Amino acid sequence: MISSAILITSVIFIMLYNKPHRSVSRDEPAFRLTVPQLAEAYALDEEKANTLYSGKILEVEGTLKEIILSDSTLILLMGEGSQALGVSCYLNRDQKDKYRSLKRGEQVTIKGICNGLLLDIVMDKCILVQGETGDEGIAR
Amino acid sequence: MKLSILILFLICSLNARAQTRYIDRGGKASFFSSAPMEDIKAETDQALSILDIKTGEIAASMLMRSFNFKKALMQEHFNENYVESDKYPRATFKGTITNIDQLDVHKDGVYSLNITGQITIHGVTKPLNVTGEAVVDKGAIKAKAFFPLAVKDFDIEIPRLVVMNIAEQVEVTVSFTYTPMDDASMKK
Repeated sequence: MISSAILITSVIFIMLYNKPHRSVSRDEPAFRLTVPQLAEAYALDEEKANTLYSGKILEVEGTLKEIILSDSTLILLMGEGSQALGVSCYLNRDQKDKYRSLKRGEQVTIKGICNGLLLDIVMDKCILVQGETGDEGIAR
Repeated sequence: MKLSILILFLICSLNARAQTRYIDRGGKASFFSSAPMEDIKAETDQALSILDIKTGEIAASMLMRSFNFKKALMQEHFNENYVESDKYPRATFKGTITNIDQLDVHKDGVYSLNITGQITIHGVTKPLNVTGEAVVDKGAIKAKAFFPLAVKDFDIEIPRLVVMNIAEQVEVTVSFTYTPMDDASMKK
């Protein structure tokens, strides 16, 4: 009896200890919103916005402003021309082929984990959602 | 509007004297803690830094939530219990490269940099002096620095039981590849 209790406890402990990272492609977004909505929330009250959004999977829709490519990262910058704050989406490695068809000024929908506010609002491990059904790529 | 001073500084600097400003939005930062139970390592490739090669001013900022840990549970504890990421979302550094006059961006080579400034983590600001190395390669500046930080200097409380797991000192590595601000983005 006691030994089985110990066994169950340790199994739960090991499972908790080794629980997997969230998968952007598999998990449902906590919020669906537009880039201006997200930007406004952060501009008004950063701490409140962090409590609501940061660390969560979000799906955001907005205008593609710029594509920034460096050795290690691929960033899609989303935002409206009139708004100071935008969203920078750091694309997941498996999305590299998908960005090529994108054009500046296009409406895009991106799903990723919100990390908070840096120069822009940062979204991590992003995948492109728009225009693709059932093929959202596999998270690393 | 509750934007931090650093962000304002960074945004302002986007407009002024762009030709001497260099930027990296995908800088790497990692910390490593060797402990009896288990080594802990976390890294990000989303650190932001701006460098002015004329004045030597340097600023770096990164989101605590952008650090990736091997174990999801550790990442959760780090953000929620130790560094309190929602309350103190960023780690920032603002300082000066005191021997910037020795850096020649037109001459490929390896340069040693003396950096002095202030680092803020978990709402606590401490002075930080480090020696970094910069490699100039075809107009880009690859800079790297390595320094230790004591967890308790930043009022980060780690519960007793876990202390066994986390060293009191962590080794921090940062590396940035700076390119001139105008060419920082590849426009389509």
